[in-house]
Amino acid sequence: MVSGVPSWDIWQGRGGPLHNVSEVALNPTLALRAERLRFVLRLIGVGVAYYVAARIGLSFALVGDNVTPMWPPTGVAVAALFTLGYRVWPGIALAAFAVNLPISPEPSALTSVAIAAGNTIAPVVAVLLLRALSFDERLERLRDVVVIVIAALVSMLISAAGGTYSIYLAGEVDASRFAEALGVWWTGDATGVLLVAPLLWQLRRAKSVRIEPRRALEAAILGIGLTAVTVAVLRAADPLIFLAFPVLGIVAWRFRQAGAAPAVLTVSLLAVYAAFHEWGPFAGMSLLTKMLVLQSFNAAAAFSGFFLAAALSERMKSRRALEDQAVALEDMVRDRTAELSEANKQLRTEVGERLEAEYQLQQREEAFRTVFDSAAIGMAQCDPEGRFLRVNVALQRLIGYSIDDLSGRSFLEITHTDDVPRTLDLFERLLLGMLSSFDIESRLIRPDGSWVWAHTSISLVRDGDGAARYVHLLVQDVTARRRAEALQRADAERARLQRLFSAVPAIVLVTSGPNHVIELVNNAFLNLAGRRDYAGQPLREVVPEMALQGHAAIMDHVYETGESYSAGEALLRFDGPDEPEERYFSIVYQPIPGDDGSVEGILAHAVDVTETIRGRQHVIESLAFLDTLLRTAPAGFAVFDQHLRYVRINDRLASVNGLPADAHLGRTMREIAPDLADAHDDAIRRVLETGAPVIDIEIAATVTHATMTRHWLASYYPVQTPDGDVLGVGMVVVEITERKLAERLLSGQNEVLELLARGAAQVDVLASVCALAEEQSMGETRAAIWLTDPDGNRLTLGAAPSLPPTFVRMLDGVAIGPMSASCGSAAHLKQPIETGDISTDPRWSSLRDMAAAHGLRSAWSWPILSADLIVLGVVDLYATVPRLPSALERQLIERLATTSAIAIERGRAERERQRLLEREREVQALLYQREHRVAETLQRSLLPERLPDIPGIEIAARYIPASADVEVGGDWYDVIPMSDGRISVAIGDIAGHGITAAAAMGQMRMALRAYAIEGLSPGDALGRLNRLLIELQPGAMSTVLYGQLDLFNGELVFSSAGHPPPLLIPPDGSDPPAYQEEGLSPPLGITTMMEFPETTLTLPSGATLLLYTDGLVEKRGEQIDDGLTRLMDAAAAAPQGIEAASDHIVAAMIGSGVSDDVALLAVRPVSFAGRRLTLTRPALASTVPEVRRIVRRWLLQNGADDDECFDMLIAFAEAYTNAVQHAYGHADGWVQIDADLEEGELAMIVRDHGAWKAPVVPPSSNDGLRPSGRGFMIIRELMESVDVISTVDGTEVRMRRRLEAASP
Amino acid sequence: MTELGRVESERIGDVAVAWVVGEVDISNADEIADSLAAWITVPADRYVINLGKTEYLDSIAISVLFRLAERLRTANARLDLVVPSGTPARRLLELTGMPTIAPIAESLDVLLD
Repeated sequence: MVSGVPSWDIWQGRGGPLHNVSEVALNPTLALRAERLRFVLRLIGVGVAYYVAARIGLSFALVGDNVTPMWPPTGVAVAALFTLGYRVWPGIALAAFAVNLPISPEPSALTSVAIAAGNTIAPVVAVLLLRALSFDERLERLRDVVVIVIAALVSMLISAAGGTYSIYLAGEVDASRFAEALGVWWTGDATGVLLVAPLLWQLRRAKSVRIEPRRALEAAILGIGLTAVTVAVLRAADPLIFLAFPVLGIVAWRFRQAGAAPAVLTVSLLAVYAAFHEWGPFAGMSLLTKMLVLQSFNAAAAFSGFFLAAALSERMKSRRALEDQAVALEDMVRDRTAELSEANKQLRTEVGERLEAEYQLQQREEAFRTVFDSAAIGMAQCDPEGRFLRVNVALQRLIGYSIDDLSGRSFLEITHTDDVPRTLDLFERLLLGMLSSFDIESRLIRPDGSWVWAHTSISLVRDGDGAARYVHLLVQDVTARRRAEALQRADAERARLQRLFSAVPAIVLVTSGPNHVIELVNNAFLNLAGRRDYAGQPLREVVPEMALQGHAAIMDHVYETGESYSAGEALLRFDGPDEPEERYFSIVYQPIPGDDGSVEGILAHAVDVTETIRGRQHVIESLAFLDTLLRTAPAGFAVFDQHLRYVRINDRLASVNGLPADAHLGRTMREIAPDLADAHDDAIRRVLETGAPVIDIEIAATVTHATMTRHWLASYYPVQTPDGDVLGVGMVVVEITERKLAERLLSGQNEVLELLARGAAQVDVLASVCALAEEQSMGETRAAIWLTDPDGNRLTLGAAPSLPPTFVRMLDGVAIGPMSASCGSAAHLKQPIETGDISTDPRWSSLRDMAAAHGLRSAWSWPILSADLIVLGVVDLYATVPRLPSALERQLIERLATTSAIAIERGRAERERQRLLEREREVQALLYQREHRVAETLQRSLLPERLPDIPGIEIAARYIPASADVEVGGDWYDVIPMSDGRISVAIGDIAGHGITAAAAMGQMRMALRAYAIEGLSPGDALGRLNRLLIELQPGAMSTVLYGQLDLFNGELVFSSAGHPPPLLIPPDGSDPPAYQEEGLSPPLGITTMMEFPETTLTLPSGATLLLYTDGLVEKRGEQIDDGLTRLMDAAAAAPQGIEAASDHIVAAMIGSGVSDDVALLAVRPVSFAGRRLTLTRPALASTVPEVRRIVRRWLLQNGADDDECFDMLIAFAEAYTNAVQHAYGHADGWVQIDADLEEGELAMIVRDHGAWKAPVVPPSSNDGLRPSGRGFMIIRELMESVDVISTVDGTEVRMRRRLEAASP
Repeated sequence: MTELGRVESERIGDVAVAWVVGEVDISNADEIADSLAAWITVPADRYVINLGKTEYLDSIAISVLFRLAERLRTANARLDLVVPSGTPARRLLELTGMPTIAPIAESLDVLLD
């Protein structure tokens, strides 16, 4: 029965209106069930509505029972399908079947089914069409009206055709009436749709529309009116049926579709009713006519009613849209207008303000320009860089630049260089905002280089944002004022100077310029040069005498060079009012510098010293009487003035110069004896400068009238008045020519002896004697030395370096005899033979010619005698002129004979000595072994047996004697507690070995011990030791290092006499060991004239000072520096304990076998801090200071402050002193002390083992004079508790007190 | 021998002044006492011992001072001591009642003014 009908939504129930999805989701089953129920109800509803509508329609059936002019169920079906969805079709189909079954012709069921199918399909098709044509059920558009009419007509053709054919088949209608039946059926169905569906849609809408009472009233009136009019026209006999239309139109107009739909239905129903009952117009009409009329009437009513309503709706809608648009437009226009008017208003205000501002600006600019251009003072506007932008006329005139010259240039460019820095400084501060403006007086440079002084006010103009815009300059010319001020100052200055200088007794002259124009002179000047007006006139013109005497030239020099000039005694003669007089002045020309540093003028300042000089000369002249005194003096005398000129000279000195005394006066040494002048002048100047004499200047000269060089000793001394005024310089000259010769001879002799000592060959030694003889004799001489041959009969050649060989050969081997030339005779007589003239001496008879041939004219021979007067040889001296020797020459020959004797004897002695040496060596070897043993024993016995036990210092010492095959050495060391608490440490090494060295060592050690006890400082002690050594063992040498250690501060003062440097090993290896090389001087034993410098170093607690002798660091084949480096390494690696460290160092340095003996002394101060102090000392008063110092050190190092320390120390010392004094009476005994500090609590115990003669604590009497009583009172006052415990074994004094400073 | 302490004397007008320099204890108290005894044989109106340079002194030293003061008192002469206050020596002297025998002044200047 169904085909082409969509079925998916119907069965699945999903085609309806949208359901609440969330509801489904929440409870799908429940929601589904509710939905199904609602659907079934709807089906039933639709079916019932269809059935009811059908029964109403059937009541008007015109054909049989089932063809009616109006079939309302179609409207119900279309409305239901359109509104509720296609799925309600079963309700329609069942209802249609149910309606048709009773009325259908036989077979009725089949026919009913066919009719019902058509009745169901037709509305479905209608709805499909409506949907396809976008139908809107509100029917407010005309097209909706057209669409529903089309849909109704098209679709209802299906049901009409189906139904009519069915009843035709059933035979209900015949073929002739088929078309008629189809037409009625079709129009009926279509009318049903057109009349009922819109009404149902309107009713559905009406549910949601509230109806105003007035409208309801109107609707009621119109409804009644319409019904009345329709009934009236239908009842009328005449065809006035059209009269219903105006009323229908009114309803549609007033209520549109809501009214049109029921109105149309009403009219149609009334018309159907009328037709059924064949009222007026329908009376007598055939069925077809009746149907046609009725159907067309109904269609027209529906059509016109709906059309009118739709048209009205559309119009109304478009009108409303237009109205809305108009309103919106109006609003827009209103808003825009408001905006524009606001904008306008603002614009107007702004324009007004700008105009006002422009006006103001213009006014100001105008005013500014007027002021600017017409101002009398200079004004300028610059950019922030200072570059000119505008410059007014006044300023241009002032600085002489036009605006064109200035544009783009900075005002600093025209500022004087000297003024730029401070201007720039202020300007920068201005730009930085530190200043808002500033004033400055500066020089502005004009184009011609001149300048004007300007007072400038500079201010900075900033724009609204604070950025610098302009710099304004206000410039005033203050040149005139400045000049006036300067002139005023200069005048004032001059007046002041005039006043100042007028009172000065010296001459003052001030000039200016290169021509020395006189600016100022004072009264003293006027008095001398004459009272005139000098001011403003050149010096050369008004004081020509100064120029003539060279002063103007000096002033020129001062002016040009800028160097001042001074002269102590310048001669100056003024052509003044008094008779011209030569005067001496101490004069100074001082340049006066100008601002730019160049010389502006000169200040001359001259003090009259004429009187002084005259007085001095007078004194010198008055000494003339001394001349007589000096004339015959055996020494030379002379006096010189300050210009080094001879003032006096005695004849003896004058004769040396070969001139009479008078010829010297007024002349200088340089003029008399230029060769000697340098040393001489220098000496005089030194005396003049220092006022101290210059003694013993040696002067040597070969004076012109003598052939030999002569020597003098000159001494110079100041010649002074009793006031100390130096008048000149005196000179005393002593001739020392002879002494010089003797000295030379001596030195020559020494040279010969030196040759001898060095073991030179005898011939060389004798040749040097000859050379000396020739050199020392006066005039030309030749020397020869002859030796006595072993037989004692002849003389053979010793040396004759400058005698002619032929002559020597002739004399060589000359016999010793009375007439055998000079030499043979001298040897024979053992006396000097002096032959003044060979040609006449009979001793020379045979050799005379030969001598003459060689130019030898005289011969002086001197026998060379040994100590036991054996003739060893002869010294000969030959002269080229016949003469006897001078006394000096005689002395010379004699000396040389002695020297020669030494030389000759030495040769003999040497041979003897060699023989003796051999012998000695043998004896020595025997002696050696014995001595070695003795020395070693001695040395050991002389070293300290044990080192002193001193609390607060650790000491270790090592002594390693040299291996047995070498002699023992002189190494030693010592440690000596000094009485002031310091510790002396010493180490030494005496050069040499054996008993002597060991003995000397013992002496040195003992001496030093004495010096230490005496308290001598290390330097002084070494000085004493040095003298002792030189006295005890001349020629012996020793190195010693001696130091004194103060345990309170670790300070070690030491001095080292050539000893290897001590090594300081810092505590705990904190730093590498370091040698202390200060305080070093040469070894002892060289000279008594020696100083031993000291040095100080600090030895902190725990540091070790290592002293050693050179044997420790010297190793054969090794540099000493390498040894020192090895020692440093060994010390750095040494263990902590001082004994272990010493062992380590010795082992590392020496190993096995020592070539020299070695001593080592290690000293280490240790702190008492945190340590208990125990000490035992003999009960002697002399121990008190030492023990006190130890306790004091212990207290301080444990943190006690000075006051506490003093108190504790007194308390302790009182207890200790008491024990020393009283415990043992006069017997020997020991006192023990024990001090400990725990948690700031000090406990001190003094313990003895004596049997007290008096009670330890005296009865508490008021006898304040008893010392022990006072002592105990002091202890009680100073300590917190004191307990005295006496037993048979002795007594203990226990003292306790809390130490504030040492408390933790 | 390095001396522990010594006596230096000077004369200011009619006043004899002795300085005890260094330390005084049992080991040198006799020497110091002898020196001071010699010093007071010089005739003077007044005797002043200045302890400003005394580094240490004990009850024996104080006894020496007591005896000296006593001797001068019997000779109808006066002994003054100069010790700056606040020093340990001053405290010790005050502790032992020294001021009852010999007045203690702050300084020589104060004393002679």
